[in-house]
This record gives sequence, C-alpha cells and structure tokens, in this order.
Amino acid sequence: MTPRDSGAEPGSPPTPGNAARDPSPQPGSHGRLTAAARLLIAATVAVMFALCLHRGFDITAFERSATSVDRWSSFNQREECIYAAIRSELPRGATVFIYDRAVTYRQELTELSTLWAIPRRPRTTAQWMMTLVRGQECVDVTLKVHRR
Amino acid sequence: MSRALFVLVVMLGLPGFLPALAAVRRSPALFFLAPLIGAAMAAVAVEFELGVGGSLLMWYVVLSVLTNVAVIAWWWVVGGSSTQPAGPSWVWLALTVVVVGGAMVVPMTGLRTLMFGRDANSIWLTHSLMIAGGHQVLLADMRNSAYAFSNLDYPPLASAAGALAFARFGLARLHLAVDVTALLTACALGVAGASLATVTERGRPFLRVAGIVVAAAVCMAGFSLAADSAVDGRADLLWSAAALGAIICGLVLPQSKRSLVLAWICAIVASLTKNEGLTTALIVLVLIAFRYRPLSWRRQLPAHAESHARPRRRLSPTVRSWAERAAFVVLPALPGLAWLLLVHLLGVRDRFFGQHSGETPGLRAGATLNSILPHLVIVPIALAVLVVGGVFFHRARGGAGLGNPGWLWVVCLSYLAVLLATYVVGAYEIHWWLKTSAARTTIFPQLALYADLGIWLIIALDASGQLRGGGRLDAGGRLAAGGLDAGGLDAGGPLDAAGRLSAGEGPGGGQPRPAAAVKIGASTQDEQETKWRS
Repeated sequence: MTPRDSGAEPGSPPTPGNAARDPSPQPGSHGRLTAAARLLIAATVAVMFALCLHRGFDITAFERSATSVDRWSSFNQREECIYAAIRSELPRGATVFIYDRAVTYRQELTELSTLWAIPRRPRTTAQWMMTLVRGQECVDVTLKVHRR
Repeated sequence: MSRALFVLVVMLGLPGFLPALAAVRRSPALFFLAPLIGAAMAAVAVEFELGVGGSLLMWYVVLSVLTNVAVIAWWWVVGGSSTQPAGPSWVWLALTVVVVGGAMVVPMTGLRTLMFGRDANSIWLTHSLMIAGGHQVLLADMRNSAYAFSNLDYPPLASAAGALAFARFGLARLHLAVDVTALLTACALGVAGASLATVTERGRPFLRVAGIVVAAAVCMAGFSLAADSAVDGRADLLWSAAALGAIICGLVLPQSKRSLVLAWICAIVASLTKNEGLTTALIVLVLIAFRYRPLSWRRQLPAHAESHARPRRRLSPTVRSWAERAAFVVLPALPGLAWLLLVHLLGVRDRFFGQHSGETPGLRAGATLNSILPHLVIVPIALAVLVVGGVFFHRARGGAGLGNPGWLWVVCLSYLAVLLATYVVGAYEIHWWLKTSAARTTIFPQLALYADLGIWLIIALDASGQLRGGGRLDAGGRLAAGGLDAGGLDAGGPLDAAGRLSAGEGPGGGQPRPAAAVKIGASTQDEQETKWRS
C-alpha cells in the first residue's frame, strides 16, 4: 500500500473548514503539548544539522590544509607525468599489455593511456608491454615501456 | 570560479535555460536547473554517439537545438493560452538563490585542492576520455575487456559533462572533469534546496527566511555527508541530490504540473548518473505515479461489480488510469532505460553480479549491516521526529498541501532494501566492497532524512498556520496548491481539495468529494481535468 497524502485522517482533507477547526496554537494542555513538541522538533533538528555541518566544516578545513594540498599536488604531478610519459614513449594507437602486481597501478596506466594507446588482454594480442616501477621520474615511480 | 569552468557552465546552462524556464517559470530552482538539463542532454547525446555514430559535440548541438525549438513551439501553441504562474517576488527569488547557492561556496572551495578520487579516475575520467574520442573509440573501448574494471555500464551524465569540457578545452587540464561534476552536484543540491524553500513561499517573512535557511542547511548537509567524494569527481552526491530533488518535488510539495515536471527532470538526471540513481529514480517515479494517480479501491469495487453489465464503459477508465501510471514511470525513465538497453546490446556486463563470491548470504548480510548501520544514525532520530510530527502536526502538514512523509520513507527503505540485497548477492569480496563503498552508498538515505527533518522543522515553526493554503480556493474558484502557483497554470490542474489530482476513474464512483471540491463546481473540475489530460 502506498501512503495517502495530507497526513490528516481519511475523509478529512485539509480544507478551509478543517483549518478553522484546527487553530494553532491550541489552548490548554493540548496547546502546551503542541508547543513542547514544536520545541522538541526544533531542538532535535537544530542539533542534528549543527553536528552534520560542523563535520562538514572540519572536512573542508582538512581538504584545504597544507598537508592535503601537498598530497594531492604530488598525486596530480605524478598523474600528469605518467600521462605525458605514455604519450612520449608509445606510438599513437599502439596495442599495449599493461602488467603490474598492483591492481591500482594497472588501472592507473589503463586510464591514462585511454585515447592514445589501446590496452589489450591477453598479452599475446599486444605489441607493447608497459608497467610502473619504483623510480623518481614521476614522483615515486617510473614508466617502463618495451616492445614485445 | 575559473574562466574555463564559467564557460562550461554557459555551455551546459545555455541550452538548458529555455527548457528550464518552460518547466519551472519564475522559480529559484531555474538557475540551478538549467545546467542540469544541459548535462542530461549531453548524456542523451552520448547514447546517440554510442548507438548511432558521430561525436558528442555534434549530438549535443542537435539535441540542444531540437529541444529548444520544441520548447518554443510548445510555448507558441500552449503557453500563450495559459496563465502565468505568480511565482515568488524577485527579491525572494534572488535571496533564495544567493543563500542556497552561497551555502555551497565553502564546501566547494575543496575544489582548489585539485583532488582526484579513485572512482573519478578509474570510472568517470576514463569514460570522459572514451566519449571525447568519438563513436569508434567509445564503441571499441566499451567492448575492450581491459576496461572491465571501469564499470562501463555506468550511465554517462557525469562523464558526458567531462567530455564536453575536453571537447572545448582539450586534454591539457584533466581536472576540469572533476570541476564540472562538482558543479553539477551543487546544481542538483540547489534544485532540491530551492524546491524545499518553496514550502514556505506563502508564509510571513520570518517563516520564508527559515525555509530558505533550512534549504541551505540541507545543501550543506549534502556536502558534509559526502565528504571528499563531493569535490573529488565522484558522482554519488550528484545522483543522491537529484533523487532528493525528485522526492521533494514529486512526493513532498503540493501537487502541481510544475512540481511534477521538475520531479521528472530530477529523476532523469539521477537515472542518467549512476546505476543506484536509476534504481532510486524508478522507485520515486512509481510512487509519484501512485500519488498523482492514486489507487481507489472503493471506486474499483463497484466498477468491477458493474462490469458484468457494462464491461466496456467501466473497464476503459481503469485501463486508462493504469496506462497513465505506466506513462508516468516509463517516459521519464526512458533515457536511463535506453542506456541500460544499449550497454546490454553491446554485451557490457556489470561486475557486481554474476560470479559467486563463495561467502554465505548470512555472512554477507551481517557484514553489510555492520558496515551500513553506523552511517544511518539519522534513522532513529528522523523516525522519532516523524512520530512526534505525525502526532502533533499532521494536520498542519496536510493543510499545507504537503505529501505524506510516508512517501519519503518508502523511498528510503526501498533503497536500503535494494542496497542490502545488492551487497548480499553481489560478486565482490564483501569486506573490501563495503570498505570502499558503504560511506557513499548511504549518502542518499541520509540526505533524504535530513531533508525530512528540515521539512518537519518548517512545519513546526509554522506556529500560526500560515502555510495552510493547501485547500484554499482562490478568487477564481481554483485551488491554490499549498500556496504555490496560485492562479497560475498549475493551480488549473485537476487537484481535489485534498491536494490530489483526480484519478480519472469517472465521476460519482469513488470517494466522497470534499466540501471544497463541491464548491469548485462540476463543470470547472471537468474542464480542469480535460486541460490536464491534454
């Protein structure tokens, strides 16, 4: 079953008549209860949003911190270097087998060779082999390319 | 904002502006909606690029021109005869745009760090590069098993926007793809926030300001919940925000054509962004169909009983109602479903299902619950607020013409059920999978429940019942749908006094019409229904 609209009981849709019968705030104990409920909802929602937004400000502050900026700057430098190295060491349209023990490196090389080389599997279908080894050419790695 | 990003906003926003204007008229959502419509057109352009041939840019231009010509033609034929919606004053409109947009400036400063999320690299950037290469490259790469890790079945909206950036500025700055995804995310949150702010459109200044502040807080909460993934090129917050927009417009705001169209656009954006977005959009669209074309058991029983005597006359409206409900779901879901069909025909399979992981369902379910529940602390609190709000303010909520909060909860719980099932029957090793995705797959239900809290806050703040315009008749005898669009095109829709659109099963056969509906007069109501159906 799907919920009905209006929240009011069935057969009692929000009409001007209903609105007139349901003035708010109501007098007496029900009015006080309604006021307490209003306060409870307002306080709960305010606390929840405050906690959430506080966390958000912390995240943004961390993202903008020198540590984070340095780390991402180094990452981007490395990516750009590998991207350029692929384009300088491989001919355009070359079929290449990307091998590396680290899945992350394999995926990284596949991504960065898109639109230039054609990653191939299995090895026998490729003209070239490509991997990343420890080095200093691209921050902490070096691209290694050789023809099969 | 860099010059390149500004140009991209124009590239996406300009073709989307006229359709957005036609959809929402003078609304604060307009400015956030235009780039989203442009991005959706770019995604559809990718479908043509992949399925037919040519390049993204070519199809984007063709679709932009066709869409705008269609909108102008529609405006020429229909728009002239329809009444202009009143909409908010320019001051409130500007205030809403500035506050809601401004709230997202601080979290967006994270873009300056030039972060590049793992999925942004391995999925969205890779897809953008493929799309930028044109039909042959895209087709070859989609069939290349070396790219299987890249979730090639993911819908193309985020990557299409990135590819447009590359088409305009070349491949020198790959981070532009991340920038444009973050910008679209902010736009989607802006649409949801601006729509939320319209709840208080008819209230006094204090309540209106409160509504705008709540809307801004929901937008900021979106960035907080998504953390780094909001600005590092991942699309999880983008689809979540678009789905939230669909919920707010289609299942929360009073029923109107404007809200319905806006909900459909948001659902299209969500469905074209990610697989989870498509699933959620389908759930939302089904519920919207049942909200706008409600089931009426009391109507169907006599119809069934009489069907022996007059089968043709009684069957027809029922069939038509179901056909309309189906159209409410299928038409907006078409772009997303078309992508699904396209990748299926190409033989691209997702990597989430198929192989058996070897882990028992019990183990996977336990691990999933252990991983997901810490992200859902909001659920018991939102539930408590729902109970308190339901007990004390259900009349106020109904009086404002707002949808039953149950709709939003049904979407959230359905999504969580689908999510749990996906993790349980999925192929990946469960602990690794959860570690890398649980924080992002739970963004949507959290965001939706924060929005629900915001809505209850607005209703609770409405101490003097200013929002109770849901069933009020305007001077022309039409219903002002929750105070929105009074006297406008939307108010001319076949809303009954409960804020529901007539199901169309024929007069006299169903629920007793409320007093206010009787006041409208049968002829006016029939005219309105005819106008709506046309």
